[in-house]
Amino acid sequence: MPRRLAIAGLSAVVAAGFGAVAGLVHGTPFWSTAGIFALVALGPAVAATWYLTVGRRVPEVRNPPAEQRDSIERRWWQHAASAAFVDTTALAGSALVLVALTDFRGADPVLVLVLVLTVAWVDVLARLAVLRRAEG
Amino acid sequence: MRNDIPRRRGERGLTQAALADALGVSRQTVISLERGRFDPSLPLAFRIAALFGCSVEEVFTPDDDGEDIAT
Repeated sequence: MPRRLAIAGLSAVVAAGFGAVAGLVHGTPFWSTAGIFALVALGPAVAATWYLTVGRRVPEVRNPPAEQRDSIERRWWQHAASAAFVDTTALAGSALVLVALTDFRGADPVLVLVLVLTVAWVDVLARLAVLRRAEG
Repeated sequence: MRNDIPRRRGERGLTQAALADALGVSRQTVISLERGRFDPSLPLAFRIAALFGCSVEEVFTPDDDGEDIAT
């Protein structure tokens, strides 16, 4: 229980830090901006804090049991993720060439990053679905 | 790599789900193994062989019958 409290406390501090930075950068209204950012950051902060303090020392996390390694689902995931990485890299590279050629500077960086993430995850999920259907 | 898991499983009256439980893998993994679409790791191959009471090479045979190794 003390460990959980410590993780929760540390996570709250990290999330509050994110919120404070966001509030300072975005200006007014500070508290609502900081609060929303802190709330959104809380989940990832808990996960990251757990992993850094406890998770990476858990034997099952550090070295998954053979049963988990010997799984067709894990193989599908590895194939889908690596293929999606190549797709995303190729797409980003092509887009970069276009931007360099046209000197286009109008895109919002946040929108671009969201688009890249979305493309990558949709690619992974589509490839997983295709593999599952092909072999299922 | 080819294998005769379906035959050995059938002889023992095991379902794919029961074999998956015994091996500690998912049923889909057993299905893919039996179709030859998933080559198991060595530990899993040994678990399969131990479950059927035989050696690994009795269950699994290379597609080319080991010609690449021999030549």
